[in-house]
Amino acid sequence: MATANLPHAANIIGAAVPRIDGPLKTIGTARYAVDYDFPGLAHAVAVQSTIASGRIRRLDVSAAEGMPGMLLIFHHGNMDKVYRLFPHQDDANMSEARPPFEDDKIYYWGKYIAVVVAETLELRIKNDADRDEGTNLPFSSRHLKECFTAGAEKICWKQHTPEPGSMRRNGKIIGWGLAGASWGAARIACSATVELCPNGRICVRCATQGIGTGTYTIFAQVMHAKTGVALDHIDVFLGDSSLPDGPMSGGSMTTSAILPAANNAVNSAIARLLNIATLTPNSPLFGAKPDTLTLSGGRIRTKEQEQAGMHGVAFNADDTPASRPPASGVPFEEVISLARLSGITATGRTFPSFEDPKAKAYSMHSFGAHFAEVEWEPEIARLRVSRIFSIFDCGRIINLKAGTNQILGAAVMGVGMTLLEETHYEARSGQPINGTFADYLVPTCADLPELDVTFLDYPDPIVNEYGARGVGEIGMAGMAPAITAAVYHATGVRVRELPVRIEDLLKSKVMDA
Amino acid sequence: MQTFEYIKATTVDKALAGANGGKFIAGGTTLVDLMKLSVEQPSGLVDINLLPLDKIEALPNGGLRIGALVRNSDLAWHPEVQKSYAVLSQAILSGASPQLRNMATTGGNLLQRTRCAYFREPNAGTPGGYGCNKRTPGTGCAALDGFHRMHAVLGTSEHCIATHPSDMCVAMAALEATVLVEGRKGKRTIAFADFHKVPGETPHVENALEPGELVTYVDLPKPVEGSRSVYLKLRDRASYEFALASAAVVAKVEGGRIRYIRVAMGGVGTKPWRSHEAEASLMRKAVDAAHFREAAEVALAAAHPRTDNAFKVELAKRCVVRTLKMATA
Repeated sequence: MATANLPHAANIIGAAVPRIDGPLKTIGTARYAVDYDFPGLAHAVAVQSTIASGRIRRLDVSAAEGMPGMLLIFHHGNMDKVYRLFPHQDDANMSEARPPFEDDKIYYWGKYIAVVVAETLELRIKNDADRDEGTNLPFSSRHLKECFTAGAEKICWKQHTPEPGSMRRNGKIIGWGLAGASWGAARIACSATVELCPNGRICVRCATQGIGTGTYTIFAQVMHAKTGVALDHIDVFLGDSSLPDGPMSGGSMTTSAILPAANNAVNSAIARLLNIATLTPNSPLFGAKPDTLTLSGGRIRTKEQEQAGMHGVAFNADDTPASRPPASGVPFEEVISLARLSGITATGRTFPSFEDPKAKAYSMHSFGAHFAEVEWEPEIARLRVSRIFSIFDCGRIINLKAGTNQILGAAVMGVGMTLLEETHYEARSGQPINGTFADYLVPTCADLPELDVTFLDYPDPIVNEYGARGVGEIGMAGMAPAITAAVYHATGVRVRELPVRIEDLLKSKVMDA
Repeated sequence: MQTFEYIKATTVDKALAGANGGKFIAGGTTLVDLMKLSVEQPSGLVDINLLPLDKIEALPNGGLRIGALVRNSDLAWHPEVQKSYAVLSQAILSGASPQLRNMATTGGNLLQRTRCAYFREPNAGTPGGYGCNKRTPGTGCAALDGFHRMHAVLGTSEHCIATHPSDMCVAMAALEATVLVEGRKGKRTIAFADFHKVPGETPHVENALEPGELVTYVDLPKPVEGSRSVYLKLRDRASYEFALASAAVVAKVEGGRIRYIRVAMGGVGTKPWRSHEAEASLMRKAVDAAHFREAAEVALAAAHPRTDNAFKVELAKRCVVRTLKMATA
């Protein structure tokens, strides 16, 4: 605190004294109500009045009482007397002039009339929202509830007994925990150029990057889907600023961003190709109407030919069996050669969702649920994650292998974040003192359990024509709460600071199996 | 990294002759790291990989002679080691990674230096850097009031609390190995318990080697007939991580009573920590969890924990109890 120009003691009242900070708050270590934990803590949902004034004549709690996971419902009918002044404490009073549950009177809109205490899974399912309450917009697509129910099915949640240390397997205590996950989705600007080449190959170009998550592959998949040209005849060029503008790789937005640009570019290129096929004098399709033609299996055909003939082309050209009958139509490269062109090029763009009134009318998010299991050996304070089931609603999945691998990688980071990773700042020098991979621990394969990833694969009708929102960070979102909940279930120790350390777990009162 | 001379020695004599203030290098898994960090700045390296010290041989007395250049992997997977000295095989395989074990040698493992983060800081022991009495005697110990979660609770002094990081050495302490060394003055043998030094007032003196002396062999005594041996390592990560606490136990049970017992601990001591106190407490006692806990209590009775590593005391006790159970089951 600055000490300059402070007034003399006699004058301090009324002077502009600099604020004395609450150090706990300024260094971020102040504890709030949510930071405290109590044994056997349950969670509750408030039922609020939907009118501003009136009287509760009847409260029908029978449906809620029949729900699995419901523990207790408090309301004015079963609460004991609510005091305004505390007995024998004249100077202590309750500032709320109209306490909830006091009686059957409603004094204001939103007054608590009941509180439902429920168990974790059911609480989440019951609490599912059909609108984004932050923006008051409908979700473009949301299947969080199904993420929970599918995950509960996989881990067999109905066998869950909530008491810490109550579940055992093979002489070890096991703990289960679950958590939801969400990650925003957006379509950011992108452009891509597609070139149909006279050598029968397709080149697609975009300045976005291939960081190993499948960007090259997705471009090629779109090209193959639209033209039928084999994947090994498709060349994807990325990662050069001389290429058409592409997005950064991040925020799980690359897939949703590149798909429309790739799709628009290849569609335009095909339209040009078909047009040229009908205008080139020595083309077998000269004079035909472009809209009667189509490109499939890398060949230009009439729509009749396409319907009649085979067009189940293999992903790779070498896979085509020799025994197949000759294909109908004309190879696209033949038309390009006949027209004496060096190639047919078209550029496609992605219109950002932030500027699209249709997209802006929706809240776009991906959703997911993690179900984690830990194994706990109290005698030696050894905790290991033994199973993780992750269920995701990320829109349509363009590449199951790439998508799954992204989630697996994120899950590994989630395990590291929860159990291992921590930067220790040397208190005197401020230096991170464990700044090497020998001292800063990330998970090894031995730390990783069976990771079971499921995509619900519901196309998002708003995000783009493929319905794909993108996959990445969401695999890590929610992982730490799922594992720490499992840690609590196994050990009875509620860890509020990551990572969970052996010294925290040594406090466990759970005894050996 | 500083520049250095490099020679390859083909005989022990040539290696000793070339040692002049330099360092011997075998697997290099510790030394090269430390040279990159400027912790080690040898003027010269004598590569000893060509010396004929890479054999494991049976001794006439029923023991086993391990050449100083035997790779950790070869030692851990040697059939006689797996059969008669299981604790040693388990200890080696619990350490480092397969790649490191393929390179690291028996002699090098004995001379492995501490993982103390302050010791490994390039500026430690230099003006303006962290105090480190191992690096530069008299500069103090930054770990005492710094971050010391991984540090030792046994054998510490006001001058150093650095943990000895080896797993292999903990097993060798329990097996009562002997270290054979050779210098220009001749050959000598050093009992394992005397090989490593606690820091005391001279933390820079880590072992009994004289300048220029070379570890040539480690001898294991004849296995104790009817004994069982176990190594258990507790750590933050399931693999590729140093011990928070570990235990090596060699035990022989007859008629439900303990007739032979050796207990050593890792991850908690400034040297591989043999607990004669635990052994004395267990001899002739019935195989019983309560006796094991008593032994664990006396094994850690002299512990001097600090803030971050206080949990190691309880963890080490639990480790000793579980290892005793495993070795006597």
